[in-house]
Amino acid sequence: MVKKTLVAIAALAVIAILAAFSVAPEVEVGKTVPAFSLKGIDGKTYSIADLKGKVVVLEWTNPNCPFVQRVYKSGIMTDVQKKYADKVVWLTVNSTHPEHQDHETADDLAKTYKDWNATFATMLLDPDGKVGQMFDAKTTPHMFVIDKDGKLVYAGGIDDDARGNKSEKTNYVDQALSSVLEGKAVATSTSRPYGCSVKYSP
Amino acid sequence: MVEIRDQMDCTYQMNKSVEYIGTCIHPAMFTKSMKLLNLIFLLTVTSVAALGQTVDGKQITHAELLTDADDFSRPFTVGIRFVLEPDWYLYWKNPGDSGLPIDVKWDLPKGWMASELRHPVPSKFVYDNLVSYGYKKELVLLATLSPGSEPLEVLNARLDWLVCKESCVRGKADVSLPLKRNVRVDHAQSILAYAQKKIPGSLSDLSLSVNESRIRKAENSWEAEILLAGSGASSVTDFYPEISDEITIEFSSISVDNGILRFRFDRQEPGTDKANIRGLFIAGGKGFEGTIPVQFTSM
Repeated sequence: MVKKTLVAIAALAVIAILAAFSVAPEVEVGKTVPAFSLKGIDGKTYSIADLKGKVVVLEWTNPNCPFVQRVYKSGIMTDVQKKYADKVVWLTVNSTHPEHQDHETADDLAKTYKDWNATFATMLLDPDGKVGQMFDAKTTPHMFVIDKDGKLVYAGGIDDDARGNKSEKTNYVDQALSSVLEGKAVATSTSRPYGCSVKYSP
Repeated sequence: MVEIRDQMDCTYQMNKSVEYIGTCIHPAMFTKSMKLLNLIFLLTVTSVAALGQTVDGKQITHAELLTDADDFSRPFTVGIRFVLEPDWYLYWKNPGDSGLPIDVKWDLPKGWMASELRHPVPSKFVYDNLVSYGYKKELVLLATLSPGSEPLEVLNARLDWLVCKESCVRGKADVSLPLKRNVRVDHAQSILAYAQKKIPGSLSDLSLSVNESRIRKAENSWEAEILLAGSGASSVTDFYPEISDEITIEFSSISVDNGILRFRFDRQEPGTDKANIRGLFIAGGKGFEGTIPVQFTSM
């Protein structure tokens, strides 16, 4: 009996140690993005593995964030979405915790972004924030570009204009997509993201 | 009706008489005609409300300019004061992982100069491992204005900020300050003196220096180990970095233990082998400004 108990304790200890080390791999520019899948607001499940061979944009978003509102209403985000609509798979990701006051239903989210003339493929829902934390998504918006081989080639802001008052701004995502679709290296592969914090908890 | 109580125990009731507000919000403007005060109040406060700073019917940010100077022919100090509803916060010049610093655009005649803004020591807020540096309740930024040859009767500035609690709201306001002798100079003086006390000191004030910077390349990023020296080294509990063009610090990785500051960072410009990291060393609830020189080739 004692022996069985000890074996059980040892087995639990091994499981605990394995669990402690089985942290999600970090997403890093220049490396392959780990596999993940999330449900979209259309009810379908999307897996990054299924999108291999396509250039993918991940855009962390929250429609109640004034930065997100500004980049949509001013066309900064939607212009790039439209420009690459038939060349890339553009997915927005919403990691807002269901109990946070910014949380919205799938129907409300769909309506808001439709009103803003967004043209992304779908919005992925990440209510437990696991994928957001895997990517270390800090802000809304926070942009990630993945090449056809599944490698992350850009992480950062949509542009270099956090305050939204520059007359000449650099749209990093536009630049990254232009380069990666031409098979060129992305010149600016990281930038400082700006915006509201991702609302991972209530 | 919105009622606000700030750190100075000053209560504002925004839909009460202008006189009541004037005693608290516009000390520098109180003495002159109530019409002017009313107009200025409407310009400064209602413009905030008009720009979406009302949440659940409450105005969450109130902004004003104030000075205790009476001679505007010499350089003088101006305070930009924000009073916030409970739990809302504004951001430091480095907002952290998210947020936006406050922007002040002065409208000055030719020849007039405004110094850089002097920020008080911020607080550090950590939610979901995301770090923010900012201010709750009340914030007074300080600037020195140096007059030119052209006269200026009313000082105007455009303020742009982000204020957050659970969610964030963008705010903008045009604020004004008549450059006249202020009979409530004592009130302005007490606010500015209080603000001045919160401005960071220098490393020598704490008998602190940076002894050695050990930098090494880790698998995914760079790691820094900064050895602090001096009698103040053991009292340092944190480091709040300013934004750097050369490196991006992972704010959640910053720690100080027994006089050793550690953090992880990524390099922005791989071609540069040196960087200077400016920031505040935090000790005993105060901040001390300093620069950490680092060399990427060293161990």
